[in-house]
Amino acid sequence: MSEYLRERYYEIVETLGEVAIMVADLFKSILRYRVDLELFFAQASRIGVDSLPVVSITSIFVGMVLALQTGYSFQNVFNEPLYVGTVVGFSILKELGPVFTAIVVAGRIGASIAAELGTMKVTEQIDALYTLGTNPVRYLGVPRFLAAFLMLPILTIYADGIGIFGGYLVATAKLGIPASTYWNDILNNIDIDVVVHGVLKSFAFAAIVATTACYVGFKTSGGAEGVGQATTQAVVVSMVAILISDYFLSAILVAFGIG
Amino acid sequence: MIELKDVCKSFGSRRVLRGMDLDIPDGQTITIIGGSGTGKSVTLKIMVGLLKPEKGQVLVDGADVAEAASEEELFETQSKFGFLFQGAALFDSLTVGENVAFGIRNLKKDIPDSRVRKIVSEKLDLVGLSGVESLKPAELSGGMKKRVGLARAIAHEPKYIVYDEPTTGLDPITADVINELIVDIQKKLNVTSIVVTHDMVSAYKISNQIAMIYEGKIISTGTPGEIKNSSNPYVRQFVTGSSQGPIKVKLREWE
Ligand SMILES: Nc1ncnc2c1ncn2[C@@H]1O[C@H](COP(=O)(O)OP(=O)(O)OP(=O)(O)O)[C@@H](O)[C@H]1O
Ligand SMILES: [Mg+2]
Repeated sequence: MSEYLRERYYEIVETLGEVAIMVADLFKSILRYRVDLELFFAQASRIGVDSLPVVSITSIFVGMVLALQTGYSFQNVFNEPLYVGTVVGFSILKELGPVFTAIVVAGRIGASIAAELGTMKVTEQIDALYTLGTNPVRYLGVPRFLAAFLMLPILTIYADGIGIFGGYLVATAKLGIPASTYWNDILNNIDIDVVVHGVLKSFAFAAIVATTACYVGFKTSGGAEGVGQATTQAVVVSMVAILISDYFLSAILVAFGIG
Repeated sequence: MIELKDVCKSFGSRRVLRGMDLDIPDGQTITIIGGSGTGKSVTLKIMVGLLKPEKGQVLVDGADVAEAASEEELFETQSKFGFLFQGAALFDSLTVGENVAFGIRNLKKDIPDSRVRKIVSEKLDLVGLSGVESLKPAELSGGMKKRVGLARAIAHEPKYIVYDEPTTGLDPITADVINELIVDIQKKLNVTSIVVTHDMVSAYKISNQIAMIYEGKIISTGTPGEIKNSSNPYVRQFVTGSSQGPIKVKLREWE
């Protein structure tokens, strides 16, 4: 048993070390070498555009169900659906917008990055890059990392908007709340730092998704089966890491008075 | 000249290379033979700096690959090599033309586009594939992939060409064509070739020197004639392809 635990412990420490080395390599590449804009834009459009439909659908329904549940609950407590806009706004801007978008992107983009890099690894394309004078972290990792880092916050802001709009639809059509009340509930009670809180977290989530997917992809071994495992692992690890880090990031940001 | 001196490499508890010594003089075609999983691909990867040995030296023209101080220094040494991978390892997302041009663009900076295109079509001609620049690797057969991989490996005019099982998985005729290409390229470009293969027909046909690897070491080297008539029982068993002899291959992993 202790033998098993010790081995796991070594494994975890080794993995963390390797992740740290890769991240250092990423930052060194970003700072020291010119980023290939063509590769960057290709990835940015893939991450941004490809995620739009699924982000739109998830966030509009999240907004809608939030408004519905808040409306019904407050109806029970106060006999009136009070503050639906405020609750929807706070929940979406601080938590659900950033977290859901990150999770959708982890499933959509994290998986596809891990599968792509993993396939390149097991078919020796990563080795081939090295022998042709190209650092794979720079050529493949940097554009993906930067694209995720910039696109996820943008997607989050978009998802926030769509979610609040979903809440608006349910609030006005189903709960009979006047449109002006819904918007005033949001605008009067929510400051810009609430938005900042959510967006700052989404930068961190982007880093988690991109780093996990790249690391897992570059480490893939064992043929097609290995690629499948890498893909699953990238998604599961990112999702868990997003949810865990969300708590601590929120606590830290609030401690600093942001949101 | 490439010199491996007492090179050791393990993966976890698995000791793959155990003090390998090998000298490869310039202008030769040397073939490394040995059973599956004996570390032939690992040896090639150590030679070009893709893997780092735990112990020993890998000298390429006197410079130690494993001790390269910076990435630039390593790329400098790597630019002397062209590597044909076991599965060709063409970049799926790029066209054949972009694949072949990749090394020229990255290893030899500042060559104008028109010149790059000319070199690409020259190299594709040399491997017997013309006008396929705009195809994607997925549209090629296995033999064509190997040829494109070869064109990519020689495009930046390396001094050393490394072939990892160039004929494995091809029909005998295509395999022979690849063999001829290797000999042809050797003559035309006057390079040093290091070939890994299990294909003895191919080994006899293309090599000046054959080296046999067993249990992480080179156990015998010689000309094709010497290897063919070797009295070393390990070599004899391998070249005649017999399951009877000193080399025991487990029929089942747990035995
Ligand atoms: N990156 C790696 N990580 C862990 N083990 C590895 C790695 N590369 C190779 N090995 C192990 O090293 C041993 C030698 O592998 P290698 O690929 O060199 O064999 P080979 O002689 O080329 O065999 P084949 O003829 O089948 O290609 C194998 O047991 C393999 O499992
Ligand atoms: Mg091999």
